[in-house]
Amino acid sequence: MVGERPLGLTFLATLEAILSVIEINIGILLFVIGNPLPNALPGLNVGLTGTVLVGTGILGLFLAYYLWSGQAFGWLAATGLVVADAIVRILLPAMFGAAWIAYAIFLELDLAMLYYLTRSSTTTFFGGESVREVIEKERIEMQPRIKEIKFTLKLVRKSSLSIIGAAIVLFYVFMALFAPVLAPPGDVSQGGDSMVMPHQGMSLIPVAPNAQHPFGTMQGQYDIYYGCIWGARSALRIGIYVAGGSLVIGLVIGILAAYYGGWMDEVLMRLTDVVLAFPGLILSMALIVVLVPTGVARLDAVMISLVIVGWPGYARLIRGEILRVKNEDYVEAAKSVGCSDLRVIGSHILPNSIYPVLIVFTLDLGTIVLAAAALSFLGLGSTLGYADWGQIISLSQNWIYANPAAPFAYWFTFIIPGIFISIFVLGWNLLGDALRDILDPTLRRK
Amino acid sequence: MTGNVFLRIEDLDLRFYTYEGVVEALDRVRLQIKDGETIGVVGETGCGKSVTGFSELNLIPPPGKIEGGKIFLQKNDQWINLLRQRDAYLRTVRGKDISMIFQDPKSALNPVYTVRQQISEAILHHRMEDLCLKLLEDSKNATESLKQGNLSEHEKTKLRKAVLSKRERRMLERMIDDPQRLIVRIASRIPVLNRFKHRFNAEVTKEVVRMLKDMRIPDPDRVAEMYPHELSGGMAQRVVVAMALSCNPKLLIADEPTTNLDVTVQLQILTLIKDLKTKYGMTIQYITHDMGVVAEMCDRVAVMYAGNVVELAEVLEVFKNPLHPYTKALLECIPRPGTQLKSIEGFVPSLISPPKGCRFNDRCPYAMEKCVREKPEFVSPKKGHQVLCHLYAGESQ
Amino acid sequence: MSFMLELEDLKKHYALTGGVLRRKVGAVKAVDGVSLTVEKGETFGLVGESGCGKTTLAKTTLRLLNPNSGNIFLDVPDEVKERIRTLQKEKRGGFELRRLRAQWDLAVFKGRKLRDMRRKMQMVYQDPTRSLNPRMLVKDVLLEPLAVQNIARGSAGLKKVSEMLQRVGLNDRHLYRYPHEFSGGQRQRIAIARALITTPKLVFLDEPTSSVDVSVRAQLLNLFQGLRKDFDLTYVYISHDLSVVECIADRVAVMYLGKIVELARTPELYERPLHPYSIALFSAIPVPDPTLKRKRVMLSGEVPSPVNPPSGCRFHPRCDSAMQVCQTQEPKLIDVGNEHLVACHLFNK
Repeated sequence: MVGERPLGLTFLATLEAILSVIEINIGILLFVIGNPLPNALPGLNVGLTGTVLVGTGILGLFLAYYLWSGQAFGWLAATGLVVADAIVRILLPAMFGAAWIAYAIFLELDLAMLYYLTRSSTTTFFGGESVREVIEKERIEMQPRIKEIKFTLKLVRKSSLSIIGAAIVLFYVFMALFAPVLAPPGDVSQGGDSMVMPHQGMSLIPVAPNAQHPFGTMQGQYDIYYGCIWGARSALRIGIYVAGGSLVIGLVIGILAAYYGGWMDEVLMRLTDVVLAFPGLILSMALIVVLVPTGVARLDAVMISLVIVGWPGYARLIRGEILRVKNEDYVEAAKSVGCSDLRVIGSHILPNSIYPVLIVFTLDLGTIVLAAAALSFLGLGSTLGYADWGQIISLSQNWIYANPAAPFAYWFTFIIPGIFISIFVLGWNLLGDALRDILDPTLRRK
Repeated sequence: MTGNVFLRIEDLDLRFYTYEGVVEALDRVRLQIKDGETIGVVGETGCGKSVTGFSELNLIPPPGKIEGGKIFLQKNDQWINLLRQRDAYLRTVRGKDISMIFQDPKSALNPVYTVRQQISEAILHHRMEDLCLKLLEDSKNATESLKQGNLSEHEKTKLRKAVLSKRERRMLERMIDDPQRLIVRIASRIPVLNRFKHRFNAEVTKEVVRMLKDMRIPDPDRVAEMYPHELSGGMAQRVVVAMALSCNPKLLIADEPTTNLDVTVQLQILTLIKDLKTKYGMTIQYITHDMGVVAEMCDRVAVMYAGNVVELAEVLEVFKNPLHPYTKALLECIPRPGTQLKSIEGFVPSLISPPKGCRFNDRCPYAMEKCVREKPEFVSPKKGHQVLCHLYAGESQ
Repeated sequence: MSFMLELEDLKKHYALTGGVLRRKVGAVKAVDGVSLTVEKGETFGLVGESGCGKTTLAKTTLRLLNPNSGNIFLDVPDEVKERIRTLQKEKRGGFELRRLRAQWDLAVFKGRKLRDMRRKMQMVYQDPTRSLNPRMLVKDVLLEPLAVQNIARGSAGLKKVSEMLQRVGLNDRHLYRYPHEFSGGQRQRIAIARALITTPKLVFLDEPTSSVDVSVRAQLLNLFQGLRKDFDLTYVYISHDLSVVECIADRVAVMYLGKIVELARTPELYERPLHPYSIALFSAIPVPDPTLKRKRVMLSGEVPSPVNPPSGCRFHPRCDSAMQVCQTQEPKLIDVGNEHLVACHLFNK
């Protein structure tokens, strides 16, 4: 009966799936970003923690899938999965001490619910009826959302470009994830920081690709291969932080300006215009030059300056969309019912206006890397030796057309990292395009 | 205005191939349009009345596809199947033989062009030759009159304006031959040489203003230079009608032209259309869902339901003696004060998997067992009155 | 005789700004001094063409727009209204007037009081495709008013939603669907359910059947009548379709350019329209009877823009019977007998 649902199977399965996805994401982020709290958790073994999280996450997703689809599977397999899940999650606090106990408790809630489930429905795993009824009912309720998702997936499958884009992006994500495997750190010259490219020797002249250095070395004898692989990490990191930061700031400003209008709109839009009036690259250069002497780390300064240059675009975009949606009948109807401003914005305006912003976000993830590369090329990017594609290219400046007798002898110094950057940006562009085709309501239907 | 049939739609089948399935939008649609009449196509949303109009111009956008049937147009004593013609040929038909006006006048007009530019476009597409010839004719006449002398100074100045120089005449002749000729195009861009083009454009503008005046638009010179957003709904619709009539088409298809307009403006537009019809000798196919408008404007009526033409008869017959159950029910739905409001039970069937038999059978109070199984055929129980229903099977005259 | 709704001299102007300094150069007088009363339980018809201000009037009454001046009394006792009127006439500002208005006059409500009042008045919009959030399930659309007005949440809320859906002719199966999966008539039913779920007293219906097919129209109109009896509602039915209004309204007001020009009981108005505009309006309706020949009054020109309304009587440039006085003086609404009010100098006896 509607409204009187016990803790249903689907509900648990959804919870399990959400928690597992969170775990996987945390695991991946740990890989990409590194230790987020180096002071609080100095001994955190990022690699191990990340692997464990991703592993349990995947286990959890399997479990959720079985529960969701209502397939009664062997009680042995069910119990086995639950036990494995539990053991692994208990291992975590054991490995990392007090700081992780809070996290473990959070996970154990999930575990407790699973236990409740297995206890209260042991009979159903042997083929009982009541749980199946519940599943059926819940499936009916989920039907419209599932239909929407299926339609979306079908659109995704239809467009081959989107698959290519997604494949490219995934490829880079895996490259970033498995960087320690593909290009093992641990070289003395790195000084303990895996993000510095190994450079054994002081040779100033780039060396062509050979057995020891698959992509060759550049000026200063930095290994290009290492730099390209680990460069994926810094690219993703810069992309996510900068695009995310611009998105958040732009959203706040754009929403305030569009929803309240009047003088707030004027003031905020003029502020936006002021920032937009500066040529982007030059403004970011100026900001970096100002920030670095005050003690901000180089890479952080790059990211902050790019965020400051980037937010006006989002602000304008969301403002335009909100202005369009603001006057729709359903927004007015929501107000007439008595919805507060916050609710109107959150439930009605944002879900209908956010899609172009999300699409620009994915596109930006690619272009920001280009901007960072440009800054590196100009010498204002990451510090010398940092594994960053732009850094590699900047170091290859002098070698692009070095020897008149043998021009492009040192092609590997800029073409290889250049290919990495181009394909990265291409992947995000294709993905962004595909997202637009899929999510734009006017293009979706037929 | 002979009253003879000049457009025949036979067994038209139209399907839309969508994600959700194949929509059978039109099923064996049959219609004949007689010269000089106003035929109304009446029905509710989704019955297919608009797409029937679009089919006549072969303007169905994908994913729609005409799957069967013929549309015959009588041109120069020959019957041509419009569905089998190439686009190039159809472009000579659209606007010239058959013209269409739409529901929302504001969206039928391009917002970045003035009224004059848009109407000129329609005129130039079909009547360039006529106008050039007219200019040449005027010039010849003016020269003749001037030669004769004994005219006032005032008249002489007027006539001199109409005279074209030899060079200008040559250019206009070239334009008649082939407007895309290189020399014509170059000359129209060079300052002194393009005087003929100026003359031509002035003539076109005169035509435009004349049309606007015909549409009873006040101050037509000023309106010609306005942009669509500066016009009110009624004015915009008149401009659209002007565009449609600029080449004097034989058939005007009007797709709910007054639905979005106020009722007093609607009266103005309907009166205008009626007067224009007599003046230009047009035939009108009037698509609407408003039975009141049908009663006012139309001589014959075709009632459509779910992709079929279910009844086709003279307007008096349809109102006083409706045969098809749907027509009867529709007429009963018209609100009458004092009586309880009636509606038709049920919903229009989904056209993605339409019922096998008669499409109205689930809502029909007279439905028989046959209606569920078999599709009905057209019968003519009375002369000039066709109906698609099993109730009258075998009563053909 | 307590009225459900009483509007007194309600005005809504939109200021037009121009010039470099954005000064006020004019005003769109969308609603320019409208006074009317709606009795409890009646269906009040409001007709007029586009630009006449009927939708603006509805939105201003619902406080979706803020009025420039005038009073809105929703279910207010007579004595209070009298007191406020007296105080306003004496032009005594002062504490008492402000206090009374803050408590009773919907035109000045703010904050919590306004939000609570919203519960009592709702609107059904013309196009249900646009008035329902395309990304919300029907269940959420209907639960939202209950949550916002603190009426019910969770399973209690769902129960109410379920009941409401049954009342409008839908069922539980439809709870978990998006609006685009329904037909036009069904969507309008959902919109009606949303309007009624807070059990309001006054409901504005803004052309609710114009985007719906003729054969389904009557279903909706019968639904309105049924719901009115069941929930003890008062309707204000806004439309430009005079034939529909004739069937369901008890009294009808005709608006032109922001003012009411005629107001009478329905049979009286339709039998004897007095104002020249009303006469033209009625004669413009196409009648579904091909044999009927009648004299049609055709108006010249178009509805003038409400930015610069004509002086004196606003209809005088298009009126066949315009007199000298019509150009200079605005006519007031006068009762010419039988509860029939007209604003026209022709009837200034």
